[in-house]
Amino acid sequence: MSKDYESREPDSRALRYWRSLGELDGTARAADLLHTEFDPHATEFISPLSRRKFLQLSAASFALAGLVGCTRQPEEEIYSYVEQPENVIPGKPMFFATAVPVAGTLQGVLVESHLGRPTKIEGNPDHPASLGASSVQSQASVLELYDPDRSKQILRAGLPATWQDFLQQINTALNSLNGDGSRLHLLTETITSPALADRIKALLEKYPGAQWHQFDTAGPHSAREGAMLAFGRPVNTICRLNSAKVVLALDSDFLACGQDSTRMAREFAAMRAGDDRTTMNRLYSVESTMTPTGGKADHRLPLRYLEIETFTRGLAAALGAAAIPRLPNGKHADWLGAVARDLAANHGQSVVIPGAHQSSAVHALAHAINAKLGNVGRSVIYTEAIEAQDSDQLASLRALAADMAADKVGVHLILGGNPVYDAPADLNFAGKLKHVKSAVRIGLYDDETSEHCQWQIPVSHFLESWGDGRTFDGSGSILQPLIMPLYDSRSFIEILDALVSAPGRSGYDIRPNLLADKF
Amino acid sequence: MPQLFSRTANTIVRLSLLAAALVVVFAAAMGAMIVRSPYETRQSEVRQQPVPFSHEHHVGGLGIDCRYCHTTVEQSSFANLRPTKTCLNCHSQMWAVAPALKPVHESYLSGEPLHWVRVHDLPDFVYFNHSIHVNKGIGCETCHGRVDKMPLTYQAESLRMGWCLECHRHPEEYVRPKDRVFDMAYVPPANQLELGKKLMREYHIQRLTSCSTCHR
Repeated sequence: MSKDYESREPDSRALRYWRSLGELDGTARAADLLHTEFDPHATEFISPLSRRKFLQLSAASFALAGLVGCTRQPEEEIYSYVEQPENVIPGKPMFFATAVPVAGTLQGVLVESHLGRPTKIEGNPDHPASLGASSVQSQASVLELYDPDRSKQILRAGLPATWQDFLQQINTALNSLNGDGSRLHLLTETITSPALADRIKALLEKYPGAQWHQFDTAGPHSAREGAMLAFGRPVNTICRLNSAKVVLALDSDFLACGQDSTRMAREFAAMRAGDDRTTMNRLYSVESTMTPTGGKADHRLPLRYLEIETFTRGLAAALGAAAIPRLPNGKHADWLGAVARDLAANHGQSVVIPGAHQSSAVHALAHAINAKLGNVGRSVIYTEAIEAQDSDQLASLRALAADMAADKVGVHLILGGNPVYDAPADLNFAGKLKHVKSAVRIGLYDDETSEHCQWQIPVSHFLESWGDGRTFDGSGSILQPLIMPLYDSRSFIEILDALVSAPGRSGYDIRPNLLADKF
Repeated sequence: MPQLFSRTANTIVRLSLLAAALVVVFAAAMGAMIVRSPYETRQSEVRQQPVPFSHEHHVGGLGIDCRYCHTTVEQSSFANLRPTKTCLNCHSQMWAVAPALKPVHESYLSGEPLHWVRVHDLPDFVYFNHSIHVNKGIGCETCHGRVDKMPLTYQAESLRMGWCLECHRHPEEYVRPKDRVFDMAYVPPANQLELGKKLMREYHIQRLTSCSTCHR
């Protein structure tokens, strides 16, 4: 929006009220609407079913529905087991440990299961990424399993096809590529799973010219760039809030959003537990929108998105973390000064958390400030990047789009994600996908991307498949299935395995080879 | 103008008014009787089962314990039905070719479960837990009747709410020692009220009559 509504001076004589932005702007259409009772496009409701009649009918239906209670109970059947599985007590739930993939990383959970059906997901107290709690994504993911909109069968150009058809045709297509398979492109979301990465590498070994792209719309793009600025290589940053007395969030909603928020909220809460005001931690939040983290903050400073970088530069200068001349912007100097003093006074016991969507400069400065404050190794810990293969995702996606436009992509495997919907619009991903002869979409839903691909292959839900992955700190976790696939679906690992070795191996068959010697 | 009605009309009017009132009362009484009748509650009604299983033979004759088949009755809300395999513990040897047992053998060979018809079916708005009753000294026979004398299984009691409440209001009249819960032939002693009160204290039995005990 080009106009700044907040800065408008109110009418000096009388406060001017307005009902729509159009009226405030004084557009002609808004003026028209003010003087006509009905919108010119509105039509009269002339159905013979009047409102009164409708209410009468619904009241009668409700009243008569009560009579159902007077009928006999319908006969009900009980199906007993043929061979009862071990430990099953009908009427009592069982709990299984597995992990929920959220944005590539895993959160350990316990899944409640009633007679073989998973019903509820809760945190796993023994898992470092859960600490007994679970995130909204974890809680909701059990509904995804039973979502009636899930992709239920293999589709070829929108028509039902079989797995054998697919294998035969994809192998024909792969064999018809240039000898080294240089026209094969693979697009995935961020992969941390060693088993899946191993299958991808096997595919790349079989077709050495093939290219692997990773893209997550909401991935930590700025954090990676910030790490490149600060360290020259990607790192994984872990904030240990249980050893931080002062926390500064720079447009970061670390208590509610992000793949690691469950653990951070737990650790933060542990430091808040003391009733004593002197031992309780202190949270400063500078943010561009209202968030739960801002709501929890002891001191909150609302700033515009772009001003947060300015603020961070000012803070870095004040702490001497970076050789930045103090910026001429004197706004919020008191607030900034107080934060800087508090951070400096808690040397090695503070943490500065940049928001995932903030610029790479904010991330790089946050690294510098944390280093200056002596937090590194205490409340801020760096580990190797947890992705199976690091990449500049946006650049990689751009290269892929260019290759598609230049007809250099013969077979395109799209694993998960929904790039037609969420890739940057400038790339015109949907348009470029038309150049690809064999586009294969492997995903949970028959969505926008499937519409532009020749093949739609349903993938198994994580509650239906064996798998593995890494948690926020890089440690490995195993996914175990709670139920057999509800539809004709396979996991990513099984599908890729079928392309590189003899088809038909289940995720469990593949698992021992990989997981056992990777951890 | 002459009188249109004779004097006797007064009587007819009174009688009709009375009859109208009686029809209403009669209809209400009929309704009340129908919902309490065995037709409605399905009390004593033998259901058609895939196999004519006789509790009389297995429990009364052979003396098999309830828990041999209803394994989870002490641990769970639901008194499990034994898996087909349990039947075959004996019936792979005995009566292995009996036509009546064909569905059992077919079930085991094909892996398809037997479709039993539920005899005791509480409405879905009622919460009921077997384990708590069994563990607090309420005998199987108290609610299910003399199952050991049923050639074909039927529902012995009405399972109406009033029937539940009789015991929930006065548990001392029905409670028995825990070691006699699975005893079909248990006869309450002469001093049942005295014993019941003692067991109530011992087993911490409360008179649970609040709506949300069962309608959760």
